Amino acid sequence: MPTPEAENEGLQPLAQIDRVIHEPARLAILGLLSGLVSADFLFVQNQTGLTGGNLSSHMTRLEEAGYVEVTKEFVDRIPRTLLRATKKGRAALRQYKQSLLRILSSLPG
Amino acid sequence: MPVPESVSPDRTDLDVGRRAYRALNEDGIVDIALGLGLLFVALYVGPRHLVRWNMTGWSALGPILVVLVARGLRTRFVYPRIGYAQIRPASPAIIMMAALNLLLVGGLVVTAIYAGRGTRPPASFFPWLFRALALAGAGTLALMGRRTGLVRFYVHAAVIAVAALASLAIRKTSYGLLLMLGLPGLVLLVTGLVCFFIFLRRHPKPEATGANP
Repeated sequence: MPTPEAENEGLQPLAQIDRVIHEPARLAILGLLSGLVSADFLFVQNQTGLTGGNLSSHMTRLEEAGYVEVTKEFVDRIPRTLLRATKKGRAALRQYKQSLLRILSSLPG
Repeated sequence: MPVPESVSPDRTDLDVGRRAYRALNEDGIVDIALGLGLLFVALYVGPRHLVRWNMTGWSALGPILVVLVARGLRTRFVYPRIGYAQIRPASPAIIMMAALNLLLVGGLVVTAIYAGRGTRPPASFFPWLFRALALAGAGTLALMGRRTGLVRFYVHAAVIAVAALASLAIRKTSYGLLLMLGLPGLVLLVTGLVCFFIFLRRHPKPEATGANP
């Protein structure tokens, strides 16, 4: 019969999951940016369906974690504020995916 | 329990990426650009009596004009409405197919130039060229359909394949070329314009409230 300690060990990966990415809005943002080279604020807002303020606050959180970066560049001589996923952000997303798949595959049902 | 091997590591990326590519292609501008390009080439290699003026200059300028028009439309109408995104480079398959298309169309134009100077290729050359163009053109558009998830690219692929095969039945090569390039060009152009106007109606320009900080 499994001991309570052995049962709880199985739930530790859940507790260790990356909470920065685990939030649905931030997962959508990072997932979108990982599939692109870069995008501006309006494109990310349209694709994720978030409001401007909501998107700003989630972007700040992702920037603090080092998962996205914000740069100002000229595209066709027009200044644009571009968002892009960093290497760290892409790696974190891959790790998050693997962790979640592992956890979900061990669940009953 | 190990992660199931059947789950492709890029499957989620493909769906998210496909949504973004679809958003960037629903405006129909790619169709407009390709359609105009094909029409320029069709008018150059088609029957001379259809066009009164010398198409050589237009055929050379055509691709440049087409790219400029596409960029201008995107910058002026698309990016202010849905935002700007830079997609990842096309898959190797699409790049190879597009390069093959350019090579074949380039070969066709060069052949037409030499034919105009009296150096005609063997009779079997054009049927094989038509078949090659049908496969390459249809293949590229089908790959674009897969990448974007937009059904109209599959339709364009079918139109190109059918036009190319139908042109094999036409005796006069110049008319066959006109059908093979002109019909898909026209279909692409018309589809592109329709998609463009639908896009403008679906995405009204947001008010200038600093949507792009």
